[in-house]
Amino acid sequence: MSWSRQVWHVFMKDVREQKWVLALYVALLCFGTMQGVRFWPIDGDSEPFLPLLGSAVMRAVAAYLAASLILGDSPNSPRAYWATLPFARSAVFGAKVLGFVGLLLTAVAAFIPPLVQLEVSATQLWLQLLNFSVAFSALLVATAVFASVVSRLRYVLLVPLAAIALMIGGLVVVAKRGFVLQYDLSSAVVLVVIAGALGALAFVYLTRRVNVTQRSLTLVPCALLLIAPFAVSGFGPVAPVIEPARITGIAPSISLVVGDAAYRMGSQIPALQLQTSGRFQLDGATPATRVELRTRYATTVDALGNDRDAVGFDISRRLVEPALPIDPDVRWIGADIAGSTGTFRQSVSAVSLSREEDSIHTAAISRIRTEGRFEFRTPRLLGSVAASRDTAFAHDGVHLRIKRGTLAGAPVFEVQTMAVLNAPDGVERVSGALDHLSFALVHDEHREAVKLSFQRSSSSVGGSLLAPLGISRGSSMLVAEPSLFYAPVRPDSISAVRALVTPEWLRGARLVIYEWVLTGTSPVNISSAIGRTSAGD
Amino acid sequence: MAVIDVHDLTHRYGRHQALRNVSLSINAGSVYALLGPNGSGKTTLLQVLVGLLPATSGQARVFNTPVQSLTAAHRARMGYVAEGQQLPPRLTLSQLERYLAPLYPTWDTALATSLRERFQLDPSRQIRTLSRGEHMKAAMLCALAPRPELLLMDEPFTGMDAVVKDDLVRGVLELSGREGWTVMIASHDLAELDLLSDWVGFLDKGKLQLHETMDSVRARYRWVEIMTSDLEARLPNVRPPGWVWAEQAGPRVRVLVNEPDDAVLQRSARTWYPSAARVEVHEASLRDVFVALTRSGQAALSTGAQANQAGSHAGSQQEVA
Repeated sequence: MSWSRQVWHVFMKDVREQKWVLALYVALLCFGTMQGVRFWPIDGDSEPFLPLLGSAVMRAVAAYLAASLILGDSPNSPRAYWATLPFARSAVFGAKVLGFVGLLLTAVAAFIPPLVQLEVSATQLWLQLLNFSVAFSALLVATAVFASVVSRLRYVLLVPLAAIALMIGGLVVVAKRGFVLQYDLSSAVVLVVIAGALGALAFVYLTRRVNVTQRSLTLVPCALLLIAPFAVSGFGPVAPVIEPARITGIAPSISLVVGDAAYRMGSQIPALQLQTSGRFQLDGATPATRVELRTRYATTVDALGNDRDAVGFDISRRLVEPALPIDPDVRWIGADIAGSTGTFRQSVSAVSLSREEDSIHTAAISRIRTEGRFEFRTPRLLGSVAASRDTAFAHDGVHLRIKRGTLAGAPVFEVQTMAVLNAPDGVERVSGALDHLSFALVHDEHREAVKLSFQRSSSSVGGSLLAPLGISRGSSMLVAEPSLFYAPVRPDSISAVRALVTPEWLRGARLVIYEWVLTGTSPVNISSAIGRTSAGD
Repeated sequence: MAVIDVHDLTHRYGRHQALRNVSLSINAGSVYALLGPNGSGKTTLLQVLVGLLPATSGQARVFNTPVQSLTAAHRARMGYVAEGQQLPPRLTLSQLERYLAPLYPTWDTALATSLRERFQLDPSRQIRTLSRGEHMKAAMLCALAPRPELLLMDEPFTGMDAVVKDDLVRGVLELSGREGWTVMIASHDLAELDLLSDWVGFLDKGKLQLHETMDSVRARYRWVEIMTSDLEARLPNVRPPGWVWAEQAGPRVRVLVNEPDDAVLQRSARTWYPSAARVEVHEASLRDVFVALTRSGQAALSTGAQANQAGSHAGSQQEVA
C-alpha cells in the first residue's frame, strides 16, 4: 500500500469511528450557515444568543474531534494498536493532519455563504477566512498536541485549565505590545507556534518517545495556541507606522483633576475617578486626517513611582475630526467645517476600599500613565441612499437600513446596522457604533448638508457560527448634533439646523455614507502629572 | 535462523529497571513460552520486540532488523496480541477486518471468518461493546488472520473459556507447525503453555533466569519426594547443590531439583536424609517449575518451612537449537 493510500486508509477509519460526532459538527455548521444566510434582513427583536452558544459548542466539538483523532491512534501509548500494524508512522501522522485540515475546511466552507450573503468584498472574505483559520487551527493543534502526550481523553480537559494558568503571562508577552515586545507579533507568533506544535506532533508520532519533560513542555505551545484567538490582531492591510517624532509636540495645559464628586458607587465598591485633559499638537495629522487615541493600558503612579492598577479607562478618544469631503459649493449647516486639533481628555478610575483610603490614595497619586496608539484616518465616500424609511445600503459586509426617520427639531433616523465584526484594517466594528462610518444628509438642490452623529446605539454581537469572527448588529440613532464633532462649535449650530431642516428639505435629501480608512498609526505613551505632562512614543 | 535476537537489552521506566541485560535468541518455527511473575518484565520485553517501547540500552532485532528500523513490510509479517490492546473502539468487528485486510498481503479472509465463527464473535458489534474475553478473541483474530511469520502474544488467553483456549492452542499449534510460524507467548496459563511451547524462558525482576528447550527443562527439573522416618523432618540449613525449592510436611519432604541424573539425586537425598525410607523422582510440570522458580526468587513469600535460596538456574544463555 502506497504512503498516500495509507494516509487515506487511516483517515477513512477515523471518519468511520467518529461519524456521529462528525455528523453533529457538520449539523452545527449547517445550522450556522443557514442562520448566517438568513441573518439579513435584520429581525431587530431577536437576540443572537443561539449562535453564540452554537459557536461555543461547535468549537468544543471540534476540539473533542481533534483529541479523539489523536487518541484513536495515540502516539505515546504502549498499548497503541496502530503502532503494531504495517503502517509508515508518517502516514498515520499525515492522516491526522488530513483530519485537522478536513475539520478546518468544513468550517471555512460553512462560513462562505453567510459572508457572500453579507456582500463582503473578496479581500474582506479572504481576510475573514484567513484570520478564522489561524485561530481555529490554533485550537485544533493545541488540543492535538496535548492529546498526543496524554493517554486518556479526560486529561485533554486539562488544556483549558493549564491555559488559564499560563494565559496571563502569555498575554503579557504576546499581546501587550510595548510592555515586553516592542511590536505586535501576535499573528506571526501563532503561526510559528502552530508550525512548531505540528513539528512536535510529528516527532511524537515518528519516534513515539514522550518523557516527562516533553509532556511538561507541551503545555507551553498549548497555552499559547489557546490564547491565540485573544491575542491575534489579525492579518490584513497593515497601516504604516508614522514616525513618532512627528507627533511629540503637545500643548502644556495638561492637568490632573481629582474632583470632590469623584466617588462612584458601583457594585458597592467605591471607585476613585481621575481625569487628565489637555491639547495635543499633532504634527503628523493633515487637515483631512481624523486622529484617535486608542488606549491599551492605564495606570496611576504614586509618589514613589510605584504603579497602581487602574480599573477603568477610556479605550478610545477622538482628538481631531476633519471635514467630510463634499462638493465645494455645498454649505455645511451649523458647523465650522474646517478641520481642527481637538482636546485631549483622559479618564482613569482606581479602586479604593474606603473614603479614608481614598484620600490617602489620592494624595499618593502623582501621575497617570497610559499607553496606546494614535490612529490616523481619512474619509472616503462610500455611497448614498434616499433618506426615507426602508432604504438600505450595503458595502463590504456593512449593512444599514433606515428603520424610521423623524424630524423632532432636528433630523433623527433610527437605523438598523449589521457588520462583520472586523473591518479589513482590523478595527472591530463592535458595539453597533460602526465607528469607522460617518453620515451626512445632503440636499443637492439646496446645496446644503448636515452632519449626523450616532446619538444612541444598542447592539448585539452575533457569534462566530454566523461568520468566522462574528457579526455585530443592532439599532442606532443618527442625529444631527454638530457639537459632538466640530470645534469650535458655533453657538447657532443646533438652532441653524432646526431652522433650515424642514420636512420638505428632508424629503429632498439623501443620506451619504463615508468610511474612515486607516492610513497610519503611531504608538504613544502619556505620562500626566499634576500641572505637567509629557508624551512621546 | 534467528527470527528474534536480543542482546544485552535493558529497559528502564524512570528509576525502575524493567529489563536487565536480557539476551536471547529464538529460531524460526519455535514456540517460545515466556514465564515470570507479575512485574517481571514479560510485557515490556514483548513491547520492545514489537517496537512499542524503545530499548534503554542493548539491541533487539526481529527478522534480522533492529526493531526501531522495522518497516511496514516487516510488520506485515508480524502479529501481536496483548491484553488491553487499544483496538479502534467504535469500529465494528467487520469494519476492523476490512480496515486491516488491505494492510496485509497475506490476509486470509477465510481464516478470519473461520476464527470469527469459532470464537462466536458477532461481526456487527462495535469493539467497545465486547466483553474482555471477546475483545481478546477479536485481537487474536486480527493477529492470526494475516498468517504472520512471527506471532507475539501477551496473556492471550485472558478471559477465554476452557474450550476456546483449547481450540486456540490447537489452532496455533497446528498453524505454527504447518506453516513454520515463530510464536512467543507470555502467559500465566501454564497448562496451555506446557502443551504449546517447545522453548521456555523465565524472567524474574527483569533478568532472564532460564532460557532453554522444554525438553531440557523437563529433563532437568524434577520433583524428588523423600519420605523420612522423622515425623518432623527439618529442611537443610544450607542449600544443597541442585535444589531449587523444598517444602516439608511432617515426615514428607518435596524438593524441586535442577539435576538430570537420577543417581546424583538419590545420593543427594540420602546425604541429607540418611534414614529416608523412600526416595522417589517424579516429572515436574511447567507449572511446578514456574512456581518453584518464582518462590525461590521471592523467599519472603515462601510458605515452606524454610525458604531455600536455591537454584543455580540456567543463567547462561543458550542458543536455541
